Amino acid sequence: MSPLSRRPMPLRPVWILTALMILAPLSGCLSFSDGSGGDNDGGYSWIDPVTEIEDGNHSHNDLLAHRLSTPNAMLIDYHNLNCDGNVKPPADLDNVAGRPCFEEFKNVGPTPGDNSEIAIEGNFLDDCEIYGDGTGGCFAYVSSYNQFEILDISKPNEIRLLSTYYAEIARMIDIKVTADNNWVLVNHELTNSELDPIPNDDDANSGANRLDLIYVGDKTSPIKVAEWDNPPAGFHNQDLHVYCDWTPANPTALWQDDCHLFLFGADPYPEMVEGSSGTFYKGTQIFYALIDFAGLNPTNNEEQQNASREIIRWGGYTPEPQTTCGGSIFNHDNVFFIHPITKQKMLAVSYWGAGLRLVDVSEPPQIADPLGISWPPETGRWLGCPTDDSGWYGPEGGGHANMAPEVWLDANDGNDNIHYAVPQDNLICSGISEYDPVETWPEQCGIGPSDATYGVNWRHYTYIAPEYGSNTNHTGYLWTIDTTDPAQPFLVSKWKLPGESTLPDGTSHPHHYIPGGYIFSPHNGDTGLSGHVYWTHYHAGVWITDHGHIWDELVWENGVPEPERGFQAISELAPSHTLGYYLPAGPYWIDDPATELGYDMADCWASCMIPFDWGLQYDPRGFVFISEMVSGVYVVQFDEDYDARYDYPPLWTAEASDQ
Amino acid sequence: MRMSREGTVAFLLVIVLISPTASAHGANSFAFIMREGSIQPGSAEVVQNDTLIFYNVASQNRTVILDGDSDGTIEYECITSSMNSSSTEDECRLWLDPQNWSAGYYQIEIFSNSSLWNVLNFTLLEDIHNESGPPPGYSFGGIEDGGKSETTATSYMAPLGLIAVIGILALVIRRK
Repeated sequence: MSPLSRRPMPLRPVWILTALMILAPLSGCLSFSDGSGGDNDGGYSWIDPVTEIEDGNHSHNDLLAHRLSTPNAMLIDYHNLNCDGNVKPPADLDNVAGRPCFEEFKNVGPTPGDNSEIAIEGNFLDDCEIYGDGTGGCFAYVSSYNQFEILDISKPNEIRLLSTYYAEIARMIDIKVTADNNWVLVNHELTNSELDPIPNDDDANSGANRLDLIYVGDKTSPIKVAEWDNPPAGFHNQDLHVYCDWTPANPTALWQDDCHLFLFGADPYPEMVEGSSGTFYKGTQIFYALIDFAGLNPTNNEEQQNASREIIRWGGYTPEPQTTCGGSIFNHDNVFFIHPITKQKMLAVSYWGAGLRLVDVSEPPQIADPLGISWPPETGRWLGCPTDDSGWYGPEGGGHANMAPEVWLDANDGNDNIHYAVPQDNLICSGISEYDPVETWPEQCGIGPSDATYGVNWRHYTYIAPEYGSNTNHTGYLWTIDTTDPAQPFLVSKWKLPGESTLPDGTSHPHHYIPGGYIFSPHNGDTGLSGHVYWTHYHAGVWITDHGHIWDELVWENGVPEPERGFQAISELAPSHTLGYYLPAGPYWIDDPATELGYDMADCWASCMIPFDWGLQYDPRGFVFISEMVSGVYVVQFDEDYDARYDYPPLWTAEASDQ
Repeated sequence: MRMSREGTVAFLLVIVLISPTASAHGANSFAFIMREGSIQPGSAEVVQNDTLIFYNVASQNRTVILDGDSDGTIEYECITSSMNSSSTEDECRLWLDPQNWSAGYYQIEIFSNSSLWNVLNFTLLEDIHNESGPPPGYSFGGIEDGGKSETTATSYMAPLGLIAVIGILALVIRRK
């Protein structure tokens, strides 16, 4: 990591950072540590932003005390998601349509808050150019409990809120969008259950049990077109994909002659038996959405319109018991991706104690398989313990970490509870990808993945992490799983928040830990192009780690890579290198953003803390879009991600110097 | 610096009281896999109201027996078929109803072909529900900013917070 930014740091953050560094040893709020990821040159000493114990010296809701970042992180832009000065639409606006927003309300109060996931899509590598046919551009979508927002992020240093979709029924906590930026899928999870309680335990506004499909072709006027009810709880997370290479042999929807929309829902109640009928609910549920635009014509009657909104359950998956080593098994998340080698369309599925599951959804069956009897099949899996008597997952196989079941299922060791998985979109080799200029490729990368000698050095990784509400010993590992062959995944690296902690009795502890309220737990993440990984850790902010050199730094038992033996051939895992962190804490150019922008933490959905980062997305132009649960969306750039082709310096620094 | 035992207890009490507890979501079920030669995991720590699920993936029937109070009377018995992925007959479920199962250590015996095949130990923890919400005295914006802060109503937590603060003050005064 280069501790000194290429670009001049804005004046105010420099002073704030300097002041914090001077005051930190006195305050007890911050602790100096050599950590495991920071460096000490260039005048910057590593500041550990994680403080477990709240006392007179530290308050988890003291916003300005958390205005912390490594010097390689720069705030590019911020939006508090104020649409039109109102946190709700006018009463006469129904709840299946959105309302347009206005630029003059950017970063003035009130701040609606209650934000959760963020999704982005667009033609980023064409710098979000609007093409002649009107397509193109880049957009972000933020789920915010009762609403979601659509932002134009074509210029990362000048993001604009376009519209807000409001629903009386909560609780939208996940959002995904199709690659064409036309369809948004949101959940309305019914919560306050044992599975996923609301922190306030407030029965009001607990949500529904639905997936809602919203047409967002007009970014200023999103409109709901379909819904799927899924008792008892709905879905906790979801993803979607438009299939343009699948043709139903007996099409029931002639209007969908080219492409077909499929939805992937994560039901937190896997394998639940419905009453006495014996019908299985699967954790991962797949739906075929037969949206007929012509049928949605407002001149049609309600029956005709409803027929055009049909959603059919088309498949389902849950781990077979014999492929686990017991524990708590449920589906938290499904992330769609296309494997860059096998070209399989896959879901990277997080299944808590049952670990990572790679499920093949390449070819939907011609006849719906609603109970998931044979579709989709599992391609591979990873969890720490053997899950078979022999073969890749057997005791001698490479597809686990030689852990006894009791060890793998022990959250105190940072294991179990696999909550989120994100695969790389592309292959990487020694810190570069095929997006880097060929002349910069090191020798060991040859001519690329097809190189007869060096092709093996181009790897595909999937990153998985747990979530803990509380953990008295650990915050959890970010596991790097080599999924170059998705049928034979194996562990290559693991990482945890760097630094030590102090226990309530004053003794030091080798890990950070989670006293409660999910405080420093990993949550959601995303990948860069060349091995960088970004992950939210709620109150510990956003962390960037480098996994690009894992293949170079693995220590193999026999001195040469043996991926066919997987973990059994590795004598020492490779390190995941810490590059930095950023804690969103309001815009730097406002002295007291909590008051001025009206941050509302009264419902304590963010565990009464700030910051509390739910999700993030990486824009391949080199920017991280962060959704902070109270204050809004932050655009941050780490020096290591700067690409001169996409030079978007922060405009707020220029505005500040003008004043 | 080390705290006294009383100080530690008081401190932990305060931590428990002020922690905005939001339990980690989970399946509220815990599975055991009965393989041909082993059971996974061999021990576990579960919470009242959890459901234990015993999946039999072996080729013979298994019988799961629990004599909770070791009085010779079986409180729970369930027979699983051999592995059958098209039905639920190869699994047993036991809901740990707090009315029937108190916190403690339990041992489950598993029989195969009328012979004791394996023994499973589990620890049952009390299911404590903490009402989540703002901690006592909660205000947003930092301690120094109390005048400007937006105070959140925490009526049900305030007395607990007051008791905790008084307790700590008493301990501190006593130490002095």
